[in-house]
Amino acid sequence: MSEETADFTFELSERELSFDVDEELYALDAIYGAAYLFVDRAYVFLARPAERKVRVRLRSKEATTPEALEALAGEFANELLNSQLRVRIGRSTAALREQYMSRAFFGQQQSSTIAELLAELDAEEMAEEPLEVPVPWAKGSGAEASDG
Amino acid sequence: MAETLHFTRSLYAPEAVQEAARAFGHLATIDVSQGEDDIALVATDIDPEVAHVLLDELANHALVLTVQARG
Repeated sequence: MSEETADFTFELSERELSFDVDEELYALDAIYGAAYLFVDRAYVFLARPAERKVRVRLRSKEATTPEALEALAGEFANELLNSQLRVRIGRSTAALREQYMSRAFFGQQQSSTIAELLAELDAEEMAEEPLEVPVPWAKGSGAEASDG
Repeated sequence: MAETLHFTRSLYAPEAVQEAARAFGHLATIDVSQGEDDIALVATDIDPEVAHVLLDELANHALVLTVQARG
């Protein structure tokens, strides 16, 4: 029986910690995504210690404790996982999104445009309230006729 | 005193590093040189008031620009 181990080791010093992320497990875009979320809380620096490895260095912007730094590393690891999931979902649904976008832009024009729907709503409101003043942008409201 | 930072080209967009160097140019004299694998940034005449954070802030800036450039 094989034994699976979760390995997340990091080096801790006075104000910073660093750890390596394997690109075989996490896409570079996921690493960027997680790093991007931490730039307001820490100084983030990326380096490449080996092929397909990214070293992430987080340096606290303020005086901190080893416990707080460890917590920061844990948060980064969680965010890395979130980011990886977003990247995977993004990739797996890319074709579907493209299909919807192409239909929206290049598909057949729908029978109801927004202007027609708004005019329809106005007509309904006016039917309920006969004293409502007709607005010029409502088609067939009579405002055009009263102008001239 | 000069401070040096090496950005890995496969992780940082060269344009982003250049742009970050320009953005911080009023706080130090910053030279950027492009190598095959990395981009070396050397900062001299650093404003003493920001000397302790200049390269860290610049690195964050370059990272943000790199991420934004990827879309």
